Amino acid sequence: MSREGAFRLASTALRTNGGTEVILRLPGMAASGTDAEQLGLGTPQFQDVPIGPAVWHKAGTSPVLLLASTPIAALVASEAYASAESLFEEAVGVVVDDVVYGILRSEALETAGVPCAYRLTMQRPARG
Amino acid sequence: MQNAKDSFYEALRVRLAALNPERTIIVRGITRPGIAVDENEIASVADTPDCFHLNWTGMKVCASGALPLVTLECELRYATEGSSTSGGMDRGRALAAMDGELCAALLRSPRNAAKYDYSGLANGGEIQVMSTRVWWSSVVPGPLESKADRVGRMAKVQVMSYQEAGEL
Repeated sequence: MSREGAFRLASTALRTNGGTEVILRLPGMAASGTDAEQLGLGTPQFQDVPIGPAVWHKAGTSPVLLLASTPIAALVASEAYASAESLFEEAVGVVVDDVVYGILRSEALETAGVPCAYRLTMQRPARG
Repeated sequence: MQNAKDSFYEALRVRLAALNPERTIIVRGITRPGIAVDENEIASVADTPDCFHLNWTGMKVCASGALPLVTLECELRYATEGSSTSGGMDRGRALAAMDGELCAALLRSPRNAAKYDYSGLANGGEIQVMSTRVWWSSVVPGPLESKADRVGRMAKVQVMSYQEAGEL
């Protein structure tokens, strides 16, 4: 199977299994010319990036989100992250229905050594 | 107490930047001196090598004097992988350089600095100078910590200040 074929297959599989769009929340650029953020005083800015298709998957006690790899690869390239893993490590979380889920860990699901999708183990938000 | 923390960080950052202006980090697109207070940054910053990571780990208050004397325990973690051009084989010397910079910054006279209230920066306001100063103990470097391709160390220093009337 070609690389493009694997990407399309994964994306199609996620869409047909109820795939939807979620928001990946990334930290925004730091403010320059002030020390406020370094002292914890700044109001952090975020960048909300819609990505999909994404499917929730129940596995164990933590919710798991499956994401197609194509939009992640595009985001890694456009935002100059070293890798998808770096992207997920720096992300604040995933926003679904106005609820922010933290990302505990990420795993690439590969075909012939190429990531076709990502499995994100999410952290349920604390009940307020 | 927050003013003492902020003032110590600012003073140390200025001293370290003067000793080695080339020690910088890039945090969310901005280049700045290679020191960060981990509790004020996103979690991924804590693993940045070639950077001094400041953490406040303890506190004691002595209320027997005219003003409460606050002693803050500060840990400074730092590690390096050496340079990519040397294949990391200079990481020992790179760590020694960081040891030297930290000791020079903390042991240089005077071992005190003005205390400021930085809270105004949250609203675009001004920094307010306070009546007392912050001062610190000698730095106590810990043992070498070696992990795979990275070597590092944790140093400890105590930061003292008087809690002024109305100060939180």
